[in-house]
Amino acid sequence: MLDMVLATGFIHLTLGNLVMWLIAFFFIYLAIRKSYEPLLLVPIGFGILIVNLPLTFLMEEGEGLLWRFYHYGLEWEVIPPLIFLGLGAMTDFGPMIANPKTLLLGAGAQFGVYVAFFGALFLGFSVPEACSIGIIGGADGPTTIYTTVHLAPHLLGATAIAAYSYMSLVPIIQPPIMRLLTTEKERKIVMKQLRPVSKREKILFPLVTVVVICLIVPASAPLMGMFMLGNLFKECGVVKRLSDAAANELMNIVTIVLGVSVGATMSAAHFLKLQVISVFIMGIVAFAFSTTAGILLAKFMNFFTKEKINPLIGSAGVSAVPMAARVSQLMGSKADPKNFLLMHAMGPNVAGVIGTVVAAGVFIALAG
Amino acid sequence: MSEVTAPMAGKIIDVKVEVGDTVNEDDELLILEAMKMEMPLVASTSGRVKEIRCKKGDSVGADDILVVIE
Amino acid sequence: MVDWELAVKIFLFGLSTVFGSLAALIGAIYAFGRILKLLEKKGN
Repeated sequence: MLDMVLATGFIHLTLGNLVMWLIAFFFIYLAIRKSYEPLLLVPIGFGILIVNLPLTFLMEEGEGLLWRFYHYGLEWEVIPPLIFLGLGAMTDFGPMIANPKTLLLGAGAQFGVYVAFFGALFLGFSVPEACSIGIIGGADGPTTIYTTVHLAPHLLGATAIAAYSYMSLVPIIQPPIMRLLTTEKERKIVMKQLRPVSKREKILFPLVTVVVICLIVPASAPLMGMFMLGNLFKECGVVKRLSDAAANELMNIVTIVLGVSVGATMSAAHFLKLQVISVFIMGIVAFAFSTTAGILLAKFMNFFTKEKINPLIGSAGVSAVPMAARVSQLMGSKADPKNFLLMHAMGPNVAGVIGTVVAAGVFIALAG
Repeated sequence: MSEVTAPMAGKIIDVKVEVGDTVNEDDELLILEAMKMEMPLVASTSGRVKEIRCKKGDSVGADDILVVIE
Repeated sequence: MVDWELAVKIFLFGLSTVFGSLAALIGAIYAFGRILKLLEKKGN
């Protein structure tokens, strides 16, 4: 009789497990009722729940199901690059090719990455841990996961959740900063419509980019390579099946495995530490500084350029695609309903993704 | 005479005026959807709607003339 | 103990690489844009 009771999970439940259940239910609630990143938070939330059921040994090294997902998917670095393949197949680089100087805004908005990096160091994190926390400021989920698995896998749950939750909070985090740093007149700057970009340019772009970026930062090759391959699939027009598969079926499959694996790293013993709170605080600091730096850089560039840039597109340099660009559009049309910034903001937005991948490559090369 | 053009490629998901309507500057004429975002297109000047060159559900390209106001 | 020297190196090298690589990309985009234009002219 006693043996039977001992074989059930009940008496092995810890208070920590119950707290993690609440967190799991909270994420699932946010996903279902508030539509915050449901594609990720549903599998993550469920992963958290089942990994906190005692005696299931789902994350037991060498035998647990979720450990296998985590090990072969994330530790082997298969999943984040496959997500980038899908992102590449969904991304239109046209607005960026039409106005290449907006690429600089995507670089400027990486500034917050380094603010959070130093912030984390001051809070007592090690250099590799600080890299993983800083990269949250790039606002790019798969890159954050890729970097953290490389440098500080014990922080994966915290950095991944921080990245994805702040990404979905971009429409709340950014507007106050944008209002504070711009004048009414600047917000009303109307930008000239972008020139059409030829098919040839769009096909050449991924080829040229992968060569340029990977020569400069070889460690960024897994993400950059897949990103540009996906984009070549999309733009070349002769492999529609591959492009569709990368952007839809494959993307959905790896998203399931990714979400569950991230959730599975969040057992009570691993997640309920004071460190996690610091990660979340540094994450929002990173977002705020990235937004600020993007806007200030746009204002700075206006000293030199003939055609004025609306500083509201600077904040879109944080890579949360396309949420950050939508925020620029909303703020712009609030200032002047005839102002359409969406496409202009897409330039810095997709440049931000490239910038974040480069920053991650440097982190991995130097801190790994 | 003034034309309202599409600021970017997208889909017209609502037409809020009819030919002959009188509109004021910044009144909403159409709702354009691009990148899963709905954006109102507003009148560039006050006047009378002379011509509507699109209908609900149309896909439009950047710079297409959508509404003519006089 | 935090290795501040490494941290500063990562910061300086990181930020300049981010700007450097995106600036190089801007150059590349302008360059191939121009080459394509030249080729199209020759084609005509």
